[in-house]
Amino acid sequence: MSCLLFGNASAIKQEIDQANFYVKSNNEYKKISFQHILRFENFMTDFDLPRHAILNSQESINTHSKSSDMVLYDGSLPFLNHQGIISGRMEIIFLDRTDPQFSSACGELMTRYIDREEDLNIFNKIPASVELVAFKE
Amino acid sequence: MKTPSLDTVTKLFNQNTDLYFVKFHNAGLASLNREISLLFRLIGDQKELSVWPDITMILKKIRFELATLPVPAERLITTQLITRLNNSLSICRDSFPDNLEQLSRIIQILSELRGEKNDFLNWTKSQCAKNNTKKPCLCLLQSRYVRPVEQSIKKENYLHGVNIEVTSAQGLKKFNFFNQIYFCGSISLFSENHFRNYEFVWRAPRASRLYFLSFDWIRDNFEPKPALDVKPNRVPVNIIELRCSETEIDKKDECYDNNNDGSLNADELDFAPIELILSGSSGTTSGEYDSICDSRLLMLEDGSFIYKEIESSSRIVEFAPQPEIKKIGNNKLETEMPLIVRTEGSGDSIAAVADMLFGKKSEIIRRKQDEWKIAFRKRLFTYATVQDVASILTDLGAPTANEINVRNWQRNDTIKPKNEEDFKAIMIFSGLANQVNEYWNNAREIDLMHKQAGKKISRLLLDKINDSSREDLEKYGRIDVEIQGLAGKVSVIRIESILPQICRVPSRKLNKVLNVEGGF
Repeated sequence: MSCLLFGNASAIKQEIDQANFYVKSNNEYKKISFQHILRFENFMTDFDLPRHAILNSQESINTHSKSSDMVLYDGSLPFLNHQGIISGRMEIIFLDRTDPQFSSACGELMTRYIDREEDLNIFNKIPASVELVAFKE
Repeated sequence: MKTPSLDTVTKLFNQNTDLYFVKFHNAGLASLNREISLLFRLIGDQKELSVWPDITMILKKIRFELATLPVPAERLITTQLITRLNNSLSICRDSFPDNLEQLSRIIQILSELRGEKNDFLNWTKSQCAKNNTKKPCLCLLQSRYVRPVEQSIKKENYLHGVNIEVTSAQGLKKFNFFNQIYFCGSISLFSENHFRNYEFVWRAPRASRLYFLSFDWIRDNFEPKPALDVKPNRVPVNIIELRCSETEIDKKDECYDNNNDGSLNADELDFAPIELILSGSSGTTSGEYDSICDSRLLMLEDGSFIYKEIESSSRIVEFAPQPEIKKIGNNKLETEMPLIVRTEGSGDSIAAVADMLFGKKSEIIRRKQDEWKIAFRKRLFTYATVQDVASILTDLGAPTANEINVRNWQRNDTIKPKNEEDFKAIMIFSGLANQVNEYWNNAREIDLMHKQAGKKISRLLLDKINDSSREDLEKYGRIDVEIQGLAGKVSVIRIESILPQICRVPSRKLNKVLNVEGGF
């Protein structure tokens, strides 16, 4: 399954570099970062097999969007800027309440929700204080 | 900044935050508000005349500050402020005798209020002591007040040793969590309006108890809904109302109720100097042959404003992954971007540093540049359309003359066309054909010096940007950099909001930080 994520490249890099964790291998714990798993081509220093790449042109986004099963929007601005232009079979949108464009993004999302085909009950329990909508268009 | 543990965040969200409305009854402040509102009604259509714009601004500002800042009234109602109002009073004596009595009454109330302590401080102090709060926070509406409030509390020891963090609404975007947060001002001010959206302070709460401190003469219209208004979503807070008339706060008069005519809607209380600036700009006459530019008004986080021409560009700081100075088109500016501006001294930071590098000859060089710009505009304004001028310039040999380029070339903040043939055509068109080389070399010199100035500012700013200055930006809303030899400062200030409407302002008003003077 291929996935296209719209977000802030600096924030992604920061997260990939800074979120370290340990894995157990041959009875030894090794410290690794997300880069070891995600293998972003753009952040590789040595030759390796990339799994992910940051796209920075509309052309490359259009090419990849054709084969994407899922589109993820990380934040209000990426959602407002790209939704409607790219459509995936499945879209997941994360909106942070502290985003400056949070209110506009919620408005946009609710406009789409009003025109939904059906509600989806895919979560048994919503985490406390988190708001969520799931629907089919 | 230390990221809170997952346990802290989970606990906070599981518990669900309690949101308290704390309404104080303060007879003096209520009376001041009543008299100010009455004066504004009496002035009516005269509000744009004579001393009234100044008086209106002073009174709106002081009412706003008294209702939203945790400092004793004497810090806000200064003797200078009373003197200024008294001076206006003497002007009113001749020109507006009908409103004299009302203004005198307001000055009298303000003088009496100077002896009052601050309700917010008293209550916060007692609450912190009662609950033995470990990590309290006092949250102000605007970051420009954080430093003076912090200094004032520390210097005068108003909170008797309570170690309290002072921050602004923007400061609560950080992953910084507290036991209790005391918000100074009505919750309506910490909501969404035309200029800003601070709803995140309660939609993404940073403490398990949020107290919104306000007065009973301020009306709130708070009916929160989930951001995604679909069941089972709910607002992330439990709402609890507290009224403080039975506490140590003044009990002389009866409390206002929300339908009382003397009460004030929080929107009216909100001191939005941007409106004053906008209304002022509409009546501004431009200088001779000064170009009028389509621009947007940016509200900066420290409470100041700046006009940015849509077609031009600005410099911003990008912090991640490494601090970097970037040039960006003004049409791409967004809220929260750290903008580089000149905050003290007049004019654009690049031009100012370039002038400093030029030394004594800067005046001659700038005058020479102005000469051809003015001559060009003088000629340009005699034609019906810019397109007509573009066609003539093309006939005169300009290879890239079109409507957009001609508009750019006539502006004061652009230096010269890239192509020398375009410049020659402009000179012929402007009647300066004999001085092409002289003006071209002069413009090239400015261009080079601006590039050097840009590099110098970038270097100085990058030297200054470290962890401590980044914290300054987050907490106080700005980083100031003094450049040796340059009068004034260059600052990095985050953009709080960008007004959607396009303002048409003279070019001399662009890129200048506008402040609302006086006060705390």
